[in-house]
Amino acid sequence: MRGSTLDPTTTLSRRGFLAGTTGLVVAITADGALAAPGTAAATVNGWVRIGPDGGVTLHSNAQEMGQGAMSGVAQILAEELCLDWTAVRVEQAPLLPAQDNANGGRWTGGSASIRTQWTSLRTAGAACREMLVTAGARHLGVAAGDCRAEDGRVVHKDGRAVPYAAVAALAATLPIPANPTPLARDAWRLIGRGVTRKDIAAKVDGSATYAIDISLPGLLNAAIRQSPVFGGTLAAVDPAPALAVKGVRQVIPIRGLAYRVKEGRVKDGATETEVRLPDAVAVVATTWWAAKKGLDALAPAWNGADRDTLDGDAIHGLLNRDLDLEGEVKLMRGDDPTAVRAAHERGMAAAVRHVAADYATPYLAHAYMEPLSAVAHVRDGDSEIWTGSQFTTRAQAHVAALTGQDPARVTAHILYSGGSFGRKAVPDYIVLAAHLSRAVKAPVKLVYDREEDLAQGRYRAATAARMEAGLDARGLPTAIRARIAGNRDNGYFIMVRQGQADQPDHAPAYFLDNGLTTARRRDLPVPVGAWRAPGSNFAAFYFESFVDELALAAGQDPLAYRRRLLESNPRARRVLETAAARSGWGTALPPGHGRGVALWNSFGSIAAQVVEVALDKGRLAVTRVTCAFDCGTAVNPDSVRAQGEGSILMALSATLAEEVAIDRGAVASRNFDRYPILKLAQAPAIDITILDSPDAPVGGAGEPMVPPLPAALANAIVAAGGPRVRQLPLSRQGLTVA
Amino acid sequence: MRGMAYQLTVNGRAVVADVEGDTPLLWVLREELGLTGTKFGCGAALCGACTVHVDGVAVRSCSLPVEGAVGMPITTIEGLSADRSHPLQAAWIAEQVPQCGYCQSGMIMAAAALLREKSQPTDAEIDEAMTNLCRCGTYVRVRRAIKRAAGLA
Repeated sequence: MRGSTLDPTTTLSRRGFLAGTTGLVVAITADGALAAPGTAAATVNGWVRIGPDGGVTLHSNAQEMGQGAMSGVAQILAEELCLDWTAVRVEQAPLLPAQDNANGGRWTGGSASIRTQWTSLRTAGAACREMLVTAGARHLGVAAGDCRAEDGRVVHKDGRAVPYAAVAALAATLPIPANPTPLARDAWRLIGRGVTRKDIAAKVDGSATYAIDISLPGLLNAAIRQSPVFGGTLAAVDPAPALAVKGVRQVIPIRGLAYRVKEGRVKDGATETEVRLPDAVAVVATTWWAAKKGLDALAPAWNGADRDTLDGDAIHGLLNRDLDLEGEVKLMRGDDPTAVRAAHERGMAAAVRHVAADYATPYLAHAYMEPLSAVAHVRDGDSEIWTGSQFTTRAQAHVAALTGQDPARVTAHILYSGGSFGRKAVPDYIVLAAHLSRAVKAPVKLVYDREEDLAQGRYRAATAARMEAGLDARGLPTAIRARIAGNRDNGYFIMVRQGQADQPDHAPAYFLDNGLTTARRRDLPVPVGAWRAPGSNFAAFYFESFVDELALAAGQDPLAYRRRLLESNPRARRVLETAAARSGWGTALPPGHGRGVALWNSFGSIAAQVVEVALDKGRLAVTRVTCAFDCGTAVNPDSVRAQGEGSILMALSATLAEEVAIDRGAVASRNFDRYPILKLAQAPAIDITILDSPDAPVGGAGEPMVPPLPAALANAIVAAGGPRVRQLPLSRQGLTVA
Repeated sequence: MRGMAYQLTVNGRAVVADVEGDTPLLWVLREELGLTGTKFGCGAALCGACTVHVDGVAVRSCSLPVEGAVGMPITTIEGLSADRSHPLQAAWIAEQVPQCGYCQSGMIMAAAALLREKSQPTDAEIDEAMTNLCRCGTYVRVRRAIKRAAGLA
């Protein structure tokens, strides 16, 4: 089956090489040492399979969910192996510890696939290349120093050559080089070039396989309705109406499903936590359509009256009230809270004037196009799952915890993910598929309908913020403070950083003195989680809107003001100035048009955006977005550009009109009519410039172009003569979105 | 509702689906005929992931009961070409349009119906025809690929 992993029990024979009918498989650790299955310490990032026919397959350990990292990881390996990219095959790597991501486990997120594996992938590829060259030289009876690797062959200086396939078995017997040397930048032929992504072709003819597409002998299908009220319980359900639907096999109430699971990053050690899933009713049938029809015929009764008063406005009110209360000081490593507060207070006292403003952002849904889908087959003694999870080993661990099996007995088949943006790192839907499979003793495909998917999110948390600053006589900040209020479960509070000598991350690009961030967290029943550019996706709106307010309060051009704040950060200033220049900043615009700018650091990269809008009697059109982006080195600039386009449009969509509507304790926005996402006709022209910083660490690309957009847009509205919007989405602020 | 055998013509082949008449065409394609290139997105004709051609017209198959498709040629992404040679598929590859890819079958089928009607669509016509949703944000490239396939770029 396409996209399937190898069984984790696949034998990795001696010394990490597997030579057999499938050819040669090489696993090499980051430091060139050998990796064997089960050696958890090994951080192996590369798999190369050289078939007897000469075909080379690269195994990528990045879950492909649209971001192109599956190809990007392979592109780095292919570079070091001097392969012809058009001839290389790329597959998802098998789930072996040797293939773990940098944090342990098979986890794809945090815009981390390239930046955290950049060195280890190049080293692994280089080691493999050097072994192949040594083997090729022996085969040719010449000195290795006189040979080079080229397009999948070892070539001697006199022109004689031997293909990798002919020497792969010999290479497998050679010692792994102690200090393999990655190619120098000027020798790159693939890195920095927009090579064709390996997953694209299957995505234009319908052959790309997602979990929802899996077919198996005896497969049953399930549809599910979990308690629509957060924390509600299933009071009663009469199964008869569903059982009357042709094809329906069983109605399965789920009450109090809980299990304990050990999880955590390998490097931090595992901790045991209890997972409780919402009560639910599931219908299992021969086809999904029958299951869905059966589900819709049911009228389950839910308990949850205690949540009846909870709605979006009430939550907003609570968070706003929290802004008046003192919060916990968020600190940089090594900071002393008393000293931070004291410095901030001194800075505020030194100001000649003060500026303050309150902001808020709503709950957001991920709203990827493939609703949550998973296939599970739980048997006595072992299990299989088929998923496009963002955290496959976590799904494995959870299914193992549910079934009482060893995680090694849970085989995971990795498929393309139809979008994720953070949500599919949580394995609840995979666990539910396993629970149902166990109940009906057959493989089960669980597919959420859109209503269920949008009602059972792990939403971007709603937050409120109060920004405060003191300005000196030149209008520059003497101190700045962010008070943030949100869910207790929201792990993503971004700080206003104090003056830093190094490049701050997930933070403003400015080196500001006397910064203070305080946070209030309260228990709210709405489940929250990671949403593209967690933390930064709201913090940048607060901070960069406020910087604009400071500039205007100081009577200065918002771009010039930011440039002054960046005097000690030339790298960020170049990004800002590039975006401004490309946008035509300062040139005349028709009446009712305006430009806004914002800048943010996240995931080791810097993004600046200028948004241009046209505003006509409260009717808003976003006409153009200009973005400059510095991620150090862009492995595949075309892929980085695609991530920029996607990040800008997703952030624009959220800013314009997205808000998870919560009414009487449940999500009311359960399909795209109530949760509108951006359409093609609303997509502005986008201009992206990628800047190289060859000496800087490689940064991420999948998320850092999200954060600047909301503030740049809000700032543009002001520049166009519109109101200062401090609460999102814009559609709730009297603006009609064109 | 009683099940019966519906005779359909899908991608030029005569097939029989033994389902109830209110079964959406989408689920007949996916579950009875194994044509999984057509995707389920919303079930309410809001997103277009399930777009196929029925009698040459782009239709959201999640909301078309199978009985409404009898007697008309149905084309799915699998039937658009045998080898990704349709000009739109070639343009989609050239522009590297897909990201997660899940909406792309529907997107391409919507574009194919547009080009059949208007071989050189204007931007406004593309805006009007292409109402399929894509969360990854491929819209910029979708527009470019349509123009490329139409010989406009």
